[in-house]
This record gives sequence, C-alpha cells and structure tokens, in this order.
Amino acid sequence: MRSNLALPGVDVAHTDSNTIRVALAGNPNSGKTTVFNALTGARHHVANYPGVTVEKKEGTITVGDMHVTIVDLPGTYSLSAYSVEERVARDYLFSEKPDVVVDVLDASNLERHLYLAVQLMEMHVPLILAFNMSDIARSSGLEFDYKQLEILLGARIVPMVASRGEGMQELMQAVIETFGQKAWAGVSVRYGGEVDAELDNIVKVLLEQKEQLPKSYPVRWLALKLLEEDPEICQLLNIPRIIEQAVLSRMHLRKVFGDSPDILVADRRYGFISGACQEAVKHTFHLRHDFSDLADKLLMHRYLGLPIFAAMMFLVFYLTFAAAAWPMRGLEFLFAKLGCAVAQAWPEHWLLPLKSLIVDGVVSGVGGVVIFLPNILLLFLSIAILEDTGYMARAAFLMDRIMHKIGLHGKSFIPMLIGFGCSVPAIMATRILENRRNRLATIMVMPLISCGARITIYALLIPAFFAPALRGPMMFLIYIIGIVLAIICIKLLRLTVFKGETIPFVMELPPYRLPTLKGLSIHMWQRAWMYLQKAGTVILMLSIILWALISYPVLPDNEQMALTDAQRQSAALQYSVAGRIGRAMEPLIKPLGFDWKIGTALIGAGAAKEVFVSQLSIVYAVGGESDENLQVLREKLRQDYSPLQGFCIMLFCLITAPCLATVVITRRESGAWKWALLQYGGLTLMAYVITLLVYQAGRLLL
Amino acid sequence: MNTQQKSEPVCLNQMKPGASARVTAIEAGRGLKGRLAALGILVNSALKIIRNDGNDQIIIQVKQSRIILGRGMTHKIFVDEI
Repeated sequence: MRSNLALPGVDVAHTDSNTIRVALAGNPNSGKTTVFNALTGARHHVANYPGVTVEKKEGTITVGDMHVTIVDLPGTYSLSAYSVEERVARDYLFSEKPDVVVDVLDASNLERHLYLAVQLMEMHVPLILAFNMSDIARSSGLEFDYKQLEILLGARIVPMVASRGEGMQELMQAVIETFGQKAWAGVSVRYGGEVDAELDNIVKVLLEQKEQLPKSYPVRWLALKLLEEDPEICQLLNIPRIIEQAVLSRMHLRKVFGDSPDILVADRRYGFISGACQEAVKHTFHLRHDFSDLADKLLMHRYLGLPIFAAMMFLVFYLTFAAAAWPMRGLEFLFAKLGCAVAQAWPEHWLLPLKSLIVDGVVSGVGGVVIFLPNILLLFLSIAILEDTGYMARAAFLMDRIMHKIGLHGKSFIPMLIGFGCSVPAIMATRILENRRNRLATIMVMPLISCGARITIYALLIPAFFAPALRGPMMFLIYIIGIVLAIICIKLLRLTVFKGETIPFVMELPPYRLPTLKGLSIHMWQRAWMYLQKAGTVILMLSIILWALISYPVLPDNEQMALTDAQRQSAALQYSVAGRIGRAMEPLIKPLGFDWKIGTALIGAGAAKEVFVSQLSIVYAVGGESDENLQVLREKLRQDYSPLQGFCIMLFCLITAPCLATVVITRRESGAWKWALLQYGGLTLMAYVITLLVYQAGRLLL
Repeated sequence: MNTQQKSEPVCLNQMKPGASARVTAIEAGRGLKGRLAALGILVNSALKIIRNDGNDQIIIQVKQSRIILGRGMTHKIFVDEI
C-alpha cells in the first residue's frame, strides 16, 4: 500500500500526492479504537508489528480522490520507550514518517491526555488533536477555547464524539488540509530557563557533529532524549563529544533541582500543559465519576465484589460454552452430512484413497476447525463487553490479590476460567494480559486446566473402574490435580524461564462506558477471522497428516475376508502406522501400566482429546460410540486393566501433550514454535514421570 | 498550597479514603518513576485517596483519572496530607 520509493529514514512525505498515511496515537481508554473503527469500518486488517507481538491494525479509506491509510498505533501513556508498545509507536513514527499523526484524547481528562500530545509535539510530527468524548467534557463543566488552544499547542483541534460518529468528517477534512501544508510549523515546548539552556547546549554540540546524526530525528528531540538519558538514543548517539555534553548537562540539572532530568522534564511537560489549560480551559463546575462511583459502590464492594465477579464469570462461561453448544451441534451435523453426501456421491470403486482423504481428512479436518467458531465468537463478544464497559479493570483489581499469590496478574483469571471449556479460546484470551512474561506463563500451563474434550475420556473411564459413590470425587480429584499442577508449574516457570521482578501493579481505572455495537462486532469478527486464517490452515494440515497415520498402510484385502465390520476396523487400525507406533511404544509405556491399545488410542488423541474414546472403541472393535457400545467397551476395559491403571490413563490424558489445535494456537499467540514445542515436550515428559511414579507407587501400596 | 502544615510525610498506604494529599517523594527506579509520571503521579502532584482497604491496594484520583496502585507500590510513594 505504501509507495515503493519509501526507504527507511528517508523523508517520503508527499511522494504520492494522492495517498495520505495517517497514524492514530492516543492513551489507552481514549477511545482511539472507536475512532479507528468509525473511520475505517470493517475495512482493515490486523497484523503484528515486525518482531513483536504487538498488534498493528491498518485500514484504507477513500475521501474524494484521496486514499487515506490509517494505522492504529498501540495505546500508550507516553513515548519514552519503557514498554514494547511505546517503543513500537515511537519507532513507527520515525521510520515510517506518517504524513499526519492524529492524537486521540479524552477531552474530559484533558491534562493527563495532553502529556502524550506534548511528546508528539516534541517529535515535531504534523499533528492533529482529536478531542474525543467532548460531550462528556461539556456535561462535566469543561469549556474549551479551541482557537486559543490551537495557538498554544500549535496543532489543529477537532472536537468529536467517536462513539456516535460525530466529528469524523471534520477530522478527515483536517487531515487533508494538514497534508496539504508545505511545511509543519508546530510549536516547541518550553521547559523553563535552566532546562532550555541545557537543551540548547546539547543542540549546539549535536549540530557540530551534524554529519554523524541519523537524519530521521529532529535535533532538538535528540537533545531532549539525551537529557532524559533515553537508553535507545544514548546508544544511537554514542559519540564521545555528545555523551560528554549530555552527562555535563544532566549533572548540572541534578545539582540545581535535585531530581533526575527525565522526571524534571516530565514535570515541566505538565507545567506547560497546565499553563495552556489555565488560559484556554474553563471549569464551569465539577462533575464526573458520579455514575461510575455509584456503580463501583456495588461492583467493587468489599464483600459483594467477588461474588458479583463470580456471577459475571459464570455468565461468560455459560455464554461461551452452553450457548455455543447448539450452533456447534449444528455445525457438527452439517459437516457429518457433508461427509456422507460426498461419500454417497462418490463413484463406486473409484479412487478410494482420495475419497477417504476428502471425507475423513479434509471434511472432518475443516469441521474440526470451524467447530470452535461459535466458542470463539461468543467468548470474544463477552471479553469485548467486559473491556469496553470498563469492568475488566475492576475484575483485575478484585482478583489481583489472589492471583498474585501464584505469581500472576489479576486478569489472568479470565483465560484460566475459559480453559475449563477449551484451551484454544483460552489461549487467545490471554491477549488481555499486557505483560509478556505473564502472558507466556499463562499460555504454557493452560493445557493443565481440564478442558471439555477431556470430559469424554473421564466419562468413559470413571464408570468403568469406580463404584458410583466414588465417581464424583474421582472427577473432582482429576480436576484438582490439574489445577494444582498448573499452579506449581507457573511458580516454577516464574522462577526459571520467566524470571523477573513482579510487575508493579499500576493501572488506570476508566469510568464505566456503554460499549458500541459496532465496536463489539468488529472486535468479535477480527478474532474469529484471525483464528480461521492463521490457526485454521495449520490445524487442517496437521489433521490430514494424522488421518494418514491412522489410515495407512491399508490392510490387505485377503486378511479381512472373515471379519465383521468392527473387527475389520480394528485390524485396519492395528495395521496402520499409528497402530504400529502404538505397538512399538509398548515397552516405553509398559512402566506406566499401559499396553499397545492405549498407546494407539493416545496417538489418535493427539488431534483432539475426545478422539481417544473413538480410537479405543475401534481398537476393541466394539463399533460406534452409542451408549450400549460404550457399556461393552467399559466391560472390556475392566477385564484388561485394574482401577489403578484406569486412573493412570486419566492422569496421563490430563497432563500429556495438548491437542493439535492448542499446539498451533500456542505457536500463534506466543509468536514462536519454541514455546509451543516446550509446552508439548514439557507436558509430555511431566505426564510420563508423574504417571510412572503414581503407577509404580500404587503397585507397591495396593 | 501556601499554608503547608508541618506534617511528617507518610506512606500512601497510611492514608484514609477521602483524604487529599500531595506527593513529597517517590522511591522507585527510573522505569517505574517514568511510568507513574506518564499517569500524572510526580512529586508535588495532588491526589485524593478513593479507596484503601489496608491490603496493599489503593485507588487514587490524580487529575481526572482513577488509578489503581498495588503490590508494594503504595509504600514507595510518600505524601503530605493537605
């Protein structure tokens, strides 16, 4: 979409007078995403910024004969490059040189939001200030003298209410006009006599070394960053003369003001802001947080807060799984019908392997991907509602004390809970966690939370080996083992792989807001599309490979003469690669109390945990999964294995390698195969060791 | 501002809900100080305690925004009651 002439660091402004590249900046909770959605609608795509897992949204619209490309920068409070998001936003502004930068501000909380605007002014980018939520500002008694503010801040101001789409045309008009300007004037921020003098000193030295400076940065900005001791810029300008002057200036300021220069500069930015606001903003009366305060009295109540949160979580869980159950059943039915239709329409005796590939591989593989779609849509609808209303921050506050004990953030609770339904949407839900270490740790242990698919395994095995009175406690025990293991693993991971100080808990508590339908639906569709596109293709490919393992080599005709259907299926499975691996594995899994039948079923369970049951019924040649057949299967299992072995099978299935979809989604969300492989290998090893210990100890004791 | 009482600076976590205070010192590393500054919490900032349950989690109001501080943050910030 960008002109090919664009080289990094080279001024590309106006290479193409019909295309305007706009970057959208703003604080979290400024309504930036709402502005982005209002401008681009659904016409945008989501990718990651190169090298990091920060999301980059981009959309193109046409205004008159102009093409306007809008990039949504990550929401940040500052551009000092302390966090990945801040660094990404800053690097983007300098390396891509957007033609216009629109800073979205919450006009009802102007002073705080102008802090980012001042930093953008320092960067000397062509700037427009979008005063969002100007209706709330007005009703809370703020009156702006826009003309005066525009002069003081040196940028166009567009008042707007993004949630109602008000002010969007005016914003685009301002973008086009700003783009049309020959040069960007801006204003330079003043930090007071002493600081400005030191800045000038550094600028003088920088200008002496002009040839050695990277061209894409304004000199005064470089000087400011040197003064602030910005690690990135200090490294970039590692020239003795420059460093020397920077150190001198910093020392001087520290001596005079007794504070580090970066904090001093931050302080002066607020000084500049409050100066501007005193001249151009009138507070006619004070009113804000009244509704939010009232709501918080209840929702964050000392004793009622947690029960209300629990009820909300139950609702989310219910919506994600119970409400999704029937569209899922519908999809399942649809794909089963599709498979049957293809099988029936297939010419007799013609290319049978291809028929099997299409019916058992492709159709059921696609079905296996699409089946999760209702889950994912409803889950992300719930999450979008929790986030857009502002409740998520409250939930984090309520849960933080408990979750902190196991080394996680309060918000981690939500994906963990989703994990009881299915690991795939749960791992996608970890996106709500800002801290990467936290997020990775949560992803890694997610498969230990017993998902819905594993219920089918427990439901087969528990009644087969345990008396009715023991069945409930057994189920509970398995779940608890998973949770305890997850907590232990997180503790271990936080001490080893994801070492690091606990993240200080500082978070803004936004006022409650009514989410917009448009925002919710866009959020939902984005996630669903991403899942289908990125995960779906890989899951499909891997399921076809697994299909091949179970289907090949084909049992020779002469060996299946005298067999019943069920016996033939069983023989075919034993003859296939999966069956042979299962047999070959027997010595390895014997110490766990497993034989080749369990081994073969476990290979099938690699695609999806519930496949374990159908594979086992094929191995035992009991036919389809009807209730009667399951009874027969349980009878046969009882003959072959002891209750201890039965328990060990469940234990192994609980802990071992996550299903294909989980592996792929882990790769997607963590950004690297190594995490997915570590998770896969680590869990398998852990399952082996724990099952081994339990089985051997059990044999000695029982 | 001019009628500064001669009260000893105290940790933020000793403040009662509803009290107003002015920050006198922040004892933290550069990164955290910078983060707090971006949220409007610096030396001399005025703030109001919205909630303090006495369990190391505090909600304060700075300018027009509510901010949650937790996990040891609250005894890194020293304030004077005003």
